[in-house]
Amino acid sequence: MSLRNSLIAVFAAWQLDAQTPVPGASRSSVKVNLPPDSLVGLISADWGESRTADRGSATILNLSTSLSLRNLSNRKIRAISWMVISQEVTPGGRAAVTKASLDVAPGENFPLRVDLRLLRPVQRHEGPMVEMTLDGVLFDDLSFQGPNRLDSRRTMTAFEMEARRDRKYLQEVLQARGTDGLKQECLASLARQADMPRLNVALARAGRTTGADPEREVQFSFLRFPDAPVEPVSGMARLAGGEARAPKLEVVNRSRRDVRYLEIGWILKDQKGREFLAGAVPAKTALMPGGRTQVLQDASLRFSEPTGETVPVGGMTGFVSQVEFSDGSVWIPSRGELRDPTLQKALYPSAEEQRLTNLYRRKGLQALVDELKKF
Amino acid sequence: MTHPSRPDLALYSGCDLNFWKRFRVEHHLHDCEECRREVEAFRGRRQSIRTVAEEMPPGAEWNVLAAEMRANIRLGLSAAECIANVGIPSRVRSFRWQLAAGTAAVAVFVTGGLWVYSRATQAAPQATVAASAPVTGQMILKATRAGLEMERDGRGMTLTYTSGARVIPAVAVSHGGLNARYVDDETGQVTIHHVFAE
Repeated sequence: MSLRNSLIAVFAAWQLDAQTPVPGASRSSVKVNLPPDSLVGLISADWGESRTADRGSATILNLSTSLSLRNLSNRKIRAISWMVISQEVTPGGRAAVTKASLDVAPGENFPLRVDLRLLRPVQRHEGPMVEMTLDGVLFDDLSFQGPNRLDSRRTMTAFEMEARRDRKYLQEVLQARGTDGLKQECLASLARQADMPRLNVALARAGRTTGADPEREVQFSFLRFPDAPVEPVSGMARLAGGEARAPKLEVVNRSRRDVRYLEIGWILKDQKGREFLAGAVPAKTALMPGGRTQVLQDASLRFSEPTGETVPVGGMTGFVSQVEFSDGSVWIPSRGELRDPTLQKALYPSAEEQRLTNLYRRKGLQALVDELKKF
Repeated sequence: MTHPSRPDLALYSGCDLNFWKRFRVEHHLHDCEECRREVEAFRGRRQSIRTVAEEMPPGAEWNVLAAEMRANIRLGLSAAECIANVGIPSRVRSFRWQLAAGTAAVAVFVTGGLWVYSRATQAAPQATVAASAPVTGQMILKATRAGLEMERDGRGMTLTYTSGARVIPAVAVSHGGLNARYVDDETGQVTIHHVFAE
C-alpha cells in the first residue's frame, strides 16, 4: 500500500472510531451564573462539541463551552476567574478556570473557552450537571470585583504582579540590548521551558496514597531571599518511595507589616538529581512583625513519569514564593532572586513569560516588540 | 483462465501497479467480468474512504497544526541564526543552514507525530495512580497530559486542556489542590486550571 493509501486508511479509521455526537447535550448540562452586579456580561454561549462514549458501567461526557463575554466596566480587565462545580459527579469537589494576562478594554468582547470531561454512571440525570459561576474579575488598577469564594483576588493579583515584573524585565532587555538581545532572551527561556521535567502528580488530602514503601522524615534546605518579608527557619516532610507528604515548616515575619497569607515553594529532588517544583505549601495566618508560625499541609503527593513509573524522591528545598500583607498587597520574588541556579532549573517561568515567549515563537520578534510597547 | 491476485487487483484500482503488471491486469480485465466487478468494488471502497477522510476528524484543526509547524520552523531558523553570527568559514555556515533546514523539516514531522499522539492520549485518560488503591470516598486529584482530574468512587471531572493548545503545563500543588497553567494557542490567553478537594 502506498503512503497516500496508508494515510487515507488511518484518517478513515480515526473518523470511524470517533465518539458519537450528541447535539445540544451540553446545553442542558452546563449552567452559567453571573452575579447581578457583574461587570462582565454574557454575550453568547456555544456548546457545539459534546460527545459521549460508554466505558463499561460509566459514561464519558465531553463538554466544550465557548462563551463570549463583554467588559461592562470602565477599566481594563487583567484577569477573570470562574468556579466550576459538578455536585452530581464529584460532590464536594471544586474546580476553577482562570484567564490571566488579559488586556480587555472597556466595552470590548473577549472569548472564554472551558473544556470538561465528566465520568459518571450510565443512568441519566435531569438538569445541569455542571455550574460555572463567576468568582471574580481583576482590573488594571488591581481593584477586584466578585464573590471571591476561591480566593481569586489574591491568586490573580499575584499573577498580575508577576506579569508586570516580567514585562518590565523584557522591556529593559529591549532597551539595553535591542532586538537581538530580546531574541536571545526568548530563545533561552524557551529552551529552559523545554528542559523542565514533566511528571504526573497525584494528590490525596490526608493519609497516604499507597502504603508500599517505608516512610522517613527529611529536613528541608532553604533558599533565602534577602528581600523576602518572611523567612523559613526550619521544616521537614515525610518521604516514602515516590511519595512526599505532610510538610511542616516554621517561618518568621521579618517585615514591619502584618502578613495574612504566605506560600513556601516546595522543590523536590529525585534520585537521579533532577529537581522539580512540587508546588507550594500555603498558610492563611495573622502574623505580626517578628512573629513566628507553623505552616502545615496534610496532603500526600505522588510523582510518576509519563510512562507511569514512580519517581523516587530524595531531597527537598523550600523558598518563600508569595506573601500577602493585611492590606491586600502581594510580595513576589524579584527576577534577581529567581536567578538562583536551583530555581532556574526547577521553577517554571511565569505565565506572562510563557505567553510572551509563545508569541515570539508563533508570530516572530516584531509581534513581541509590539506587544511589549502596548504596556 | 488464471485470475490476477486480489492484492494486485486492489493495487490496480489505485493505479499503484508497475507498468508490466498493470498491462497484464488490463489485458485480463478485457475478458473477465468477475475481475472487473472486483476492481469496481475496490474503487468504490477507496472513494468512500477518501470522502470520509476529506472531512477532518472531530477536534482536529488543520490551521492550528499548520500554525504550530510554522512556529517551530521559525524557532529553528532563529536559533540557527543566533549561533551562525560568529566568524565562521562560509562552507561551515552553509552547512549550518542546511542543518537548520533539516532540523526544521524534522520539527514538522515531530510536531505532526506529537499532535497525533496527543489526540490519542486525550481520547484515553491516563491512569496515573492505578496502583494507589484510594480509600473509598476519598477524593483523588491527578495531573496528567490530558488535564487536571478529580475522582471519587469511580466518578470524575477533568478540566481538559483546550484542543490545539501548546500544552506544556506547569503543574503545582497549593491550597489543597492542583493547578496547571498553559498558553492557549488559539486565543493567546494564559489559562490556569485549579482543582480542589474538600
